[in-house]
Amino acid sequence: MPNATPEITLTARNLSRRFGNRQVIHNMSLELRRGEVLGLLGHNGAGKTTTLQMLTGCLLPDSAGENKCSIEICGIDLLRRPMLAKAHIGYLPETPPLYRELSVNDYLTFAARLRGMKPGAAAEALIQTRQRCGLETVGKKIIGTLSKGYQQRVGIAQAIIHRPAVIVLDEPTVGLDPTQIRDIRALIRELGNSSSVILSTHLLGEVESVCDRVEIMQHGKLIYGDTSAHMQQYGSIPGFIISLRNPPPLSELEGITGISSVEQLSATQFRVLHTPDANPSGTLLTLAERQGWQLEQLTPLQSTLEEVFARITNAGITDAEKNATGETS
Amino acid sequence: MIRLLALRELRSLFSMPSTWFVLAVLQFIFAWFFLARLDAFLEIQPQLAQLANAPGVTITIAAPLFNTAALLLMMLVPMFTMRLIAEERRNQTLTLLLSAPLSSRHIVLGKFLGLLIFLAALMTGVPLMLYTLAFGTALDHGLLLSNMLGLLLLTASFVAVGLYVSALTTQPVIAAIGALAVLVGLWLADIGAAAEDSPWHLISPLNHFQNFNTGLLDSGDAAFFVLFSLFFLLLAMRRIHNNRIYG
Repeated sequence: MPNATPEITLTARNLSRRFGNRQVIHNMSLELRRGEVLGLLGHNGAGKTTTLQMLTGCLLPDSAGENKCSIEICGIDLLRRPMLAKAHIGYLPETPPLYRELSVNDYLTFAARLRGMKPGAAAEALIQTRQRCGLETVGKKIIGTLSKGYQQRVGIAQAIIHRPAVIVLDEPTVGLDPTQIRDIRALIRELGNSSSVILSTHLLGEVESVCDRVEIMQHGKLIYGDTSAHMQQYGSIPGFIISLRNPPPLSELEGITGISSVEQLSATQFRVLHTPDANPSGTLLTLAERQGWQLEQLTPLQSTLEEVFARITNAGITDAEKNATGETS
Repeated sequence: MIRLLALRELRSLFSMPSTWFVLAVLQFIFAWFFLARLDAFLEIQPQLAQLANAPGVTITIAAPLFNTAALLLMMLVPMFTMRLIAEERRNQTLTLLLSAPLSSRHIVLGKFLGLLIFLAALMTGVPLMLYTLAFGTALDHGLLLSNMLGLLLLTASFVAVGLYVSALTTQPVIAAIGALAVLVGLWLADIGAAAEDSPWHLISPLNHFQNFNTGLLDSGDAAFFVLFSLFFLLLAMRRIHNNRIYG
């Protein structure tokens, strides 16, 4: 079983949704396999939450298109047989759906039973889930008295207690402190081993650290989809930053073969860009030693995910503009 | 599933201090009224004894007490129903129910039964007080039973209205005011309509309670309550279902 290609747990085809006259989601399709963590990345208002609401059955997609839309969870049609399909979904909305007046144990047991677990199984799942989410010490506390971080953990516990095949998390780390973020990311990684996880976020670091695959959304469309490792390589810049304690004049640096441009960042720091095929760092090092420039640091330029993201979304806009002008002309 | 939701509703109710406060104050009001009626009865008892076919203790004490309870419920039920769906929507907990394997029928009936059980418990004080009279005198059990049944049906119809209004909005306060407006409106239209055959009498729940109050079990009245409650429950289910369409 583990050797075979993992089964597909979620398929969504041609989802569209409009609110009034505003088309929020355009013909979007997604697929997810067991053991995969998918990051849904996008600016605020890109349609991430609406998409997740449709995938969890809280919102019906518009079916009045020429092409039929469908959502299948573990092979069960969510739109036609919602009662069966929803038992396989765990959903954490943007605001965790907590009954603040209940105790953590009561609430989690209720959540488990709500998804059709038998009382005995629910009690067992409660112990396990509390341990997984670090809630052992707060079982008897009233949810309303817990800190934001603990409340978020209860929210996640609620989504995973019935061991669903598909876990949908809407911005799971919002409002948490750095340690809590690290803990929750580790938990999501762990969840991704046994189930499929979709999480929406606008934090690129989150995608980098937890997701196997990224889908970028803009204006209700998926504009880019790839593994997160590939995305990091997308549009990297050949170059590095050097600091020299005793720098030569700028022209001398520019004269080195392979270097296309040098920009002085401060008295001792330079940003050096070179042609993609030639890497002049070796020459530079030997020169620095020979001429006594006192090299302190040489860091290759790495495009941050922010830059990658901006580049992809801009490409999306220009493509759309091109299409629009192409249609009118 | 319906039972699970009803139990959750009860658990939430009893974990709030305000519930216990209302419970205590209400018992106090009932007890006060009960003692006042008992006092009045003891005062006029000698005169009643001289009448042929005089009204008994049950009708002079129990009937007004149940009538007051009915009026108090009309004011009180909106305060409880406002939370049912409007607050869940505002606290975003409705998403938990919508993403769980439940139909809107489960959600509406679970909440309806949960609150109805609570209100029934709230009202048990009234018959319990009346049955203390059984130590000293013979009671008219038929009248008491018909009143209890009537009060239960009346409460069910109030809860159904409140539940529907609560499903329409996101603000609990608006849900309370809306439900109160509907219930008091129906009541005022009923007592304001002079004509004997005015249609307002037909659609007012409190008017249909009057027969139960005097000990008359009319299947027409019972059918009215059932249909009235069912109508608003179906509307509420529809509204919850539409939540998935309109967001």
